[in-house]
Amino acid sequence: MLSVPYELVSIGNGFVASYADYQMPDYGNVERIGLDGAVTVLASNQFVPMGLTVSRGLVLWYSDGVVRSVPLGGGDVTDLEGQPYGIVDPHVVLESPLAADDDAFYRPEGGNLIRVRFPQ
Amino acid sequence: MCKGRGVLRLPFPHAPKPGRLRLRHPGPARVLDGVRFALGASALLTLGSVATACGRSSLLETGYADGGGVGGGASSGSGKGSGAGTGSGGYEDPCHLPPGTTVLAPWPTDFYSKEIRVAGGWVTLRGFIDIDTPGMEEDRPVIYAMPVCGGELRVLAGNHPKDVMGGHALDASGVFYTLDGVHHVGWDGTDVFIGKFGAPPRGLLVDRGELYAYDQSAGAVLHWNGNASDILGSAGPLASSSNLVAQGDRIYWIGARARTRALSSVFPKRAVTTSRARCSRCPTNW
Repeated sequence: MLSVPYELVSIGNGFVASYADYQMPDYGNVERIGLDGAVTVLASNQFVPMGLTVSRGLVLWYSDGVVRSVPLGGGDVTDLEGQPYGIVDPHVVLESPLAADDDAFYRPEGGNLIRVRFPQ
Repeated sequence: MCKGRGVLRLPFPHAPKPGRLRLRHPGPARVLDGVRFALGASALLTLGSVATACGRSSLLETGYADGGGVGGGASSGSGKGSGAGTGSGGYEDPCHLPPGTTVLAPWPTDFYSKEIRVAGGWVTLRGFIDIDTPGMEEDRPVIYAMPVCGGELRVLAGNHPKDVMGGHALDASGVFYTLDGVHHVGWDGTDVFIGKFGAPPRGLLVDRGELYAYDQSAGAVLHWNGNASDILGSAGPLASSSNLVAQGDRIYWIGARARTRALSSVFPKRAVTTSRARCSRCPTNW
């Protein structure tokens, strides 16, 4: 039986996107789950995200001080912001939900709202 | 597309509380914007002031969870250590913003975000204002809104007891949120009580004028029929995360529980009903 002590889920483009850390605390996989139940790992060994969402064919999540994305169809993980930023120490995890429409939005705890343009 | 109208690009120091921080592990020395930081075992953040490419000083804030030491200094010069901190930390420096990133400011430093939504040119955050003053020791829930292009920060709902505001959703008309029932507050701040909806619901979704909710106590997805809530279907008991999403002609409840993968339940959308038409107290622009 799988142990999933931490999960985030979202849906978009006909898939459920999920994060689950099965074995290592604070590290886990960003997955795509088809509505038929088929599971595809999109990004492994990712630090626990504070927010996860699906928009415009991308799965986006915020962790380690960075907004990251991976295509729902699979591919490379992209740091939308290029470098850890928003908090000085990316090892400090802050509450930060994430939402997206044409851009992604998140807010580091106690900080300002950040708008991040999607990759073109 | 935003043209920079009303966008403030200001650093806005903030002061997270040590108890809210989660330290993964002390990191090794690292270089950040030309400044080398050696993070001590007890250090959370680092302090320094360094000239930037923007031609001004960039304040890097610092804090320590327990007063531990940290050394910091320009990588090209001698380091300067410091051993005291105030517990503040974090910075947003527009000089360091990568292309495509904009800081929408200012936001209160004592506001902690729990839920963010974006639609209709607005972004909203539901969360809590941390209140430490004597006699007001409970955090207060609040919903803030700001145009996606920046501008005035508005308080759409607030001053309610803790743990009664369970979710929010928005469309072009404004924000729906749960309290003693479901409220609608327009972008102008006009707040209208719609009615009892669940007990109360913990997740809200508005789709094409129809209002849906997840009632964790009933384990059901509800639909607002204009006067009361109907059960759309069973979604099971409370999940550790839970979302309601509209996709095509269906409503999905997606959740996850320990020892399971993500779950989803599918419900057909209800036909356009009456949630607007029967709300006689709604503002005229709703």
